[in-house]
Amino acid sequence: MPKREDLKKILIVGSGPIIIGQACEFDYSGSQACKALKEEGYFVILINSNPATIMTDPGMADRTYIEPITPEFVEKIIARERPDAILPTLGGQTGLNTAVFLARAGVFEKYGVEVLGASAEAISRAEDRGLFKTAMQEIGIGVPESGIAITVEEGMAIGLSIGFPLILRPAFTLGGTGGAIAYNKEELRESLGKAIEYSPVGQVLVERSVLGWKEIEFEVMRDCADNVIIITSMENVDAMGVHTGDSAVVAPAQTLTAREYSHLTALCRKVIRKIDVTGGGVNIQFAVNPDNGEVVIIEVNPRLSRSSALASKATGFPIARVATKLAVGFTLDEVKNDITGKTSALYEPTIDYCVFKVARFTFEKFPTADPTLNTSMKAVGEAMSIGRTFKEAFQKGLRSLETGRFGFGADGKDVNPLPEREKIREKLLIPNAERFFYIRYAFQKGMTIDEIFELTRIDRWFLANMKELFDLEQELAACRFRGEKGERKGWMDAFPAGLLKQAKEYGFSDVQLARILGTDEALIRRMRKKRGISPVFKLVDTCAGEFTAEKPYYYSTYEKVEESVRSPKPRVMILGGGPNRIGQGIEFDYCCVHASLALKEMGYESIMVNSNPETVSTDYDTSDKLYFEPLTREDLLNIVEREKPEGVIVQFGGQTPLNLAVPLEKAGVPIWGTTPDSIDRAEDRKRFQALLKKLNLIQPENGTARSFEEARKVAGRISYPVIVRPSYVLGGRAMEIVYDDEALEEFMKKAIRVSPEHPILIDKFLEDAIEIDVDAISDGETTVIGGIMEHIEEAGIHSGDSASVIPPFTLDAKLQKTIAENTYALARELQVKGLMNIQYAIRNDVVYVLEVNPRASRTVPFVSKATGVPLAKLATQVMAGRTLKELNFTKQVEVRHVAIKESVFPFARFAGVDAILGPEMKSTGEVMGIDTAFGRAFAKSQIAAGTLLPKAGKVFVSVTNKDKRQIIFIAKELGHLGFEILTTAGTGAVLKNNDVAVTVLPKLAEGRPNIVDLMKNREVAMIVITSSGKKPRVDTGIIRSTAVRHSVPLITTISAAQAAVNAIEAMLKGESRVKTIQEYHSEIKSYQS
Amino acid sequence: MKMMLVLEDGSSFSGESFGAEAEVCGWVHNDYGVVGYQETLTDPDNRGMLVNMTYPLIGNYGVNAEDGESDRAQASALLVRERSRIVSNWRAEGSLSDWMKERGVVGMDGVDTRTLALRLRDRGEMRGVIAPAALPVAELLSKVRAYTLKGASKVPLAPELIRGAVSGDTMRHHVPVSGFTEDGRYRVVVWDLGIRRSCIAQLEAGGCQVVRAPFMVSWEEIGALRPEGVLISNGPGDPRDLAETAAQIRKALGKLPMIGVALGCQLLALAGGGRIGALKTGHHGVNYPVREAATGRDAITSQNHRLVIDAGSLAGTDFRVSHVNLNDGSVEGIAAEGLEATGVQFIPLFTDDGAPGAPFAEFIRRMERRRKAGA
Repeated sequence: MPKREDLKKILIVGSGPIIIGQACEFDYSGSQACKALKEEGYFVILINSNPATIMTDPGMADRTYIEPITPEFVEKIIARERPDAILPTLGGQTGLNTAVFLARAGVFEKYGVEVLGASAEAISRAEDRGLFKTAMQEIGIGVPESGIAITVEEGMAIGLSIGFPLILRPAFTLGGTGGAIAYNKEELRESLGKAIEYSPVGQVLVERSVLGWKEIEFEVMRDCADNVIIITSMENVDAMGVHTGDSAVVAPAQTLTAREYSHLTALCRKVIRKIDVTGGGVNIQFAVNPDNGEVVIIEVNPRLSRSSALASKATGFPIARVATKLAVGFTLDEVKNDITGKTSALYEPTIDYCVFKVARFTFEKFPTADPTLNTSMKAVGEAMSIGRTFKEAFQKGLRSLETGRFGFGADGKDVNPLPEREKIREKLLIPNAERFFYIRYAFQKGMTIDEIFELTRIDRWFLANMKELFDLEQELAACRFRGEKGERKGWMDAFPAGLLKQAKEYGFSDVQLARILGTDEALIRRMRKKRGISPVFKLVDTCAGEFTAEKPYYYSTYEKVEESVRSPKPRVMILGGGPNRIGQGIEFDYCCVHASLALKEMGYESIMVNSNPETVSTDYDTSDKLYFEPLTREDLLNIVEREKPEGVIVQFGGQTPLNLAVPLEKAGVPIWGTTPDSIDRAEDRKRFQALLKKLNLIQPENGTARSFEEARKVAGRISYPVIVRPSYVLGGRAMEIVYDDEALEEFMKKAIRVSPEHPILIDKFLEDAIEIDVDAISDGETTVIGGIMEHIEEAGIHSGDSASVIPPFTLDAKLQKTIAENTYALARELQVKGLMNIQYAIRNDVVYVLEVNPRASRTVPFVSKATGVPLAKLATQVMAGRTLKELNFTKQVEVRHVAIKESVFPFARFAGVDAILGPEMKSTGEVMGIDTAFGRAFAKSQIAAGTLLPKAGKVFVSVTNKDKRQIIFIAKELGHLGFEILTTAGTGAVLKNNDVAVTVLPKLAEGRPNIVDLMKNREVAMIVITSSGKKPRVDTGIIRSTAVRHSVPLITTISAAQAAVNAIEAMLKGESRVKTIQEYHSEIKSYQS
Repeated sequence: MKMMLVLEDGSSFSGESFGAEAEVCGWVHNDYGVVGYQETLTDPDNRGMLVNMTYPLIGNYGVNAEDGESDRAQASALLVRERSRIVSNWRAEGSLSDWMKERGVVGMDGVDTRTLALRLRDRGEMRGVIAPAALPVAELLSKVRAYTLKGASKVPLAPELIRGAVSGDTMRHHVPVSGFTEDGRYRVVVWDLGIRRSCIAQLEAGGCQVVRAPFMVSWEEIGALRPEGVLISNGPGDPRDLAETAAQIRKALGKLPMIGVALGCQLLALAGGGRIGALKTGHHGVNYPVREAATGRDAITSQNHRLVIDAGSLAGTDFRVSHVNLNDGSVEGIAAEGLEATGVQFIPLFTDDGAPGAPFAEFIRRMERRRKAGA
């Protein structure tokens, strides 16, 4: 059937900010959807609050709304645009839920909007726990015994009749939010309350636990002619009980016989027909009892998902693109398979390699969080690796994570000494992020595969493969170099080539081999090169080589025949950002994608290297060529040797590629843009100081120390408070603000234990300073400021966590001029070619330089969306040798609107973690609020970030002494706006003295009802609670985490409180309006690309 | 032991022996299925084949007594990238390696299966020999060349392959001794060229009683059993080597509902006056899209064939092309409605609800209509 001609305008719903469980895979799927619809001639309208996405680039959709994804705002857009249809299946759970709410509210009916992809009924059949269970039973598919509860008492009754352990699954939540495993009555009661609260419909499924069963997933697609295809199977390495987003996953499934596989695929076809998705894809999860093959169905997601993005990248089959075509009426046979260029999408991909996906966690950022992996997802990112064998893919995957590991242990990062057997058993039994490494320790202790299986329930097949790796490691270790220095050459020459080759086939990295063999990485490389042991690159082609491929992508393996053909065009390589983590995520992927597009436009062959399957950069049609490889020196050099690129771009992928700049340059790789030496001048503490001195720029006073005594001396010289951090870390890792000797001593103890060889950096902390972020672009001659962003939170809160505003809202022209001049001077001195980001602090009209990053920053996409200037593209053109004059970009643009970037935090995922902001970055994502005035823009940014600022009710206010003066004004305004003020004795006294009516609540330990009780009873509309940088009091921590748990808007800085009051005022004054990014940009005259 | 595969174009691939150790000659083809090595090895169509598995990890779930497509190993050799050293599945009864060893199937492990697969794709399917690597390549190459000579005694023709492929019971008796029992089920004679178990199971699930007859019986002998329908089964070899069987089928055409599967489909075409050709690279996998001309309905099918019916040759015959492969346009089914005869080149599988696949269902409906008309 051809495409539907009755549809003209289609609204696509994005997924909003990056959060745990919903990451950039939805930028990938949404971008594909935009392209797929536009090429069919549809008029595409898009809503997504996340400015860091490719899909919100002005060229992707015809009309792009960077507005909050709430039913209210989507309805406004529908009313303004009158689309014929809405496509909600590409925007994750957010998109889906928004559609369900709008459908139930009758909005689609009112405006005559059709739901594409999956009907509201189909969505409900899959998402509503009761309907789902009935539907599955009707087609004879087993579901774990379960019952649905909307109250804790109901849930208790169901749970007790089923028996422990129990799994709780809240309805309509994403990434298992609010899900739990309960082993006893007490846990059940506690978890039920939470689960019901997290479910937007207040419904929870209490289910028999199938812990320890195999978890098998399928991606399935169906068209309107009832053709159904299976894209791939996936097997979770971790057994049931660990969320699939946290589990390691292999594709295809490894331990199913053909008969079991056919049985499951038959079930898949029945399920998609029963749910009745008539033009799109679903993800289906089964649990299979490894002892007898019993199958139960766990979940169906009637939409594009993280798993479908993975399946897509694993097979080459563009699920999002095809799903979009199916949604508008095409049948599978009418959609071309772009990878082969010959076959159609009516085809089940087959592969001739093994794919391994492994999750990336950031528990180090939340030391008080429970690091146990369970049914609620905790991973912030993932890496995917491809090998010809599981062993190869597994080791590549572990080093793709960029956690400092270079494979399955033996890389110098193993726990030393070997943990005790009891500790190992515990780590095997309770799923956690380090479990694979503990499996290796278990082998070291002589534990058998069966013993490890009983503890981990990881299929013996995987364990046996890991054991083979361990055994080979032992064999290698026996050949370790033990001689004198002069004997090395003889040892090298005598080393058995077959063993070395096998080690590389088993995925061992040169770093691991160097450790095992007692030598260094460079020598291992030389040693194997001499023996002709180098990788070749093979294809991801959807068909295991049955057809020649037109647009494949590549992975390395240690075989003989090279399949990657070098293009005759000049080639430029872009190093991607690797797995998402806090501090390095979608923003960098956005920059890499722009670099690739710009290179293609200039006639280069663009070559992307990345390991993150969630991204647009790893989409098959983003670059001319894609290598799905780990971002390590060894793996990159292999690609460089194959491609011999004219240039390598390291400044767009975040810190990972930047750290590789110097080693790569040393190996003779041509680095484009700002030189690695300039990068080093900005990164190296001493050289940076010298640089600032030379330019007469001001830096907060600072020093370094290797002991507490030294540190105290420095602190004495520059005076408290100071910011302290270990020198080797990134993204604010382990950074703290310290107010006295006692805290300093504690920090020094910790830091020196972690890293005795690195000094501690100590900076004067500028209290109450304004922090400014500047993104600029330079060609070495001309420097132009892309945007000056003023943070709402004061300096001391990580720039990635602050809300920031374009244009700056308190800086006068003179200060802005100083900032610009400083920026020009730094760019000139560092000979920046491309992007740079500078962080300034301003106090008493003095501009301090905090940090210079000669690379793309996290804020580049935000600035581009706010100003309409494609900074990453321009930077790529500059790196290719064009000047800014030639590119007609010589002047900073001025905007008439206000754009505010707000950060989004994962506190709700980590029960009990204090939701306080500091110098260590904690946010996972961002949203943008854009409007004509500050209050309205801030209100939008808060709504988009999920903070539901109240229009009436009770506001609890408790601030530290230094904030007391400012809180008076804020409280007065709140009073004028009709809010009732609750407060503590201290803050209350100040407010009363200033004629603000307040109700004083007792301290938590001193009386009830206290603020925690009121929050639990949903009687509090907003919390404003600030704390001094000193160790926060226990009370405030409990109040903050309770607020997070009960979704009470929480404000932790006085400046954010002021902004919130402005926003509330704006909200009360009138309806907010929606406007496209294209309209905003057309009002900016000074730059036209 | 180090083993070597030498193809007739002179290229060679090395590997490590597993399963049986022997020298074997045969057609080499790729199998694109990710799972199903046991089915592949026992598929009668693969009699004498040297099968190159494109999926690199083979043997993971072992072997069991239930999953064979026939009662014996059919393929002569299996080439794999990495043989699993462990078996992990609750139904596993042994390792692939032992199973192959017991049945004389030669295995090669550590083979560059992808390069081999691409060679067969680009140069077309070829014959090859697997032997201990100690032998000189030139000698092995001359063996392959000798093997490929027309009329060379070493090349097994279809009759020999079929005799090897079908179960002993069928082959022993010229005419089936056990006739049908009158129990209301449809009486179906299978012209057994090496039928897959799953085909028989589908007929039985559809209410048929199946009697197997060896391929060399005459139509008269089959007719004497008073069948209501005839299935010409799948099986190994080139149908052009089975002229006598085709002649007998011609006699049966139009007398009762007939269905041919795979080789049986090709024999129907020959019987009806069509011709057989060869694909450069055959279809050997589980993911081939096929369109039914009459309804426009598409299906993903399992296929295992290098030879193919020449569509043009059907002009002027009673047959028309009923199914087409959407990837390359090749013939995947033929039908002669007037003669109540249909053939499918792909392997019909059970539906998701456990009913016989569409071609068998249609075949059963024809018998049902005849019964009703007769009654």
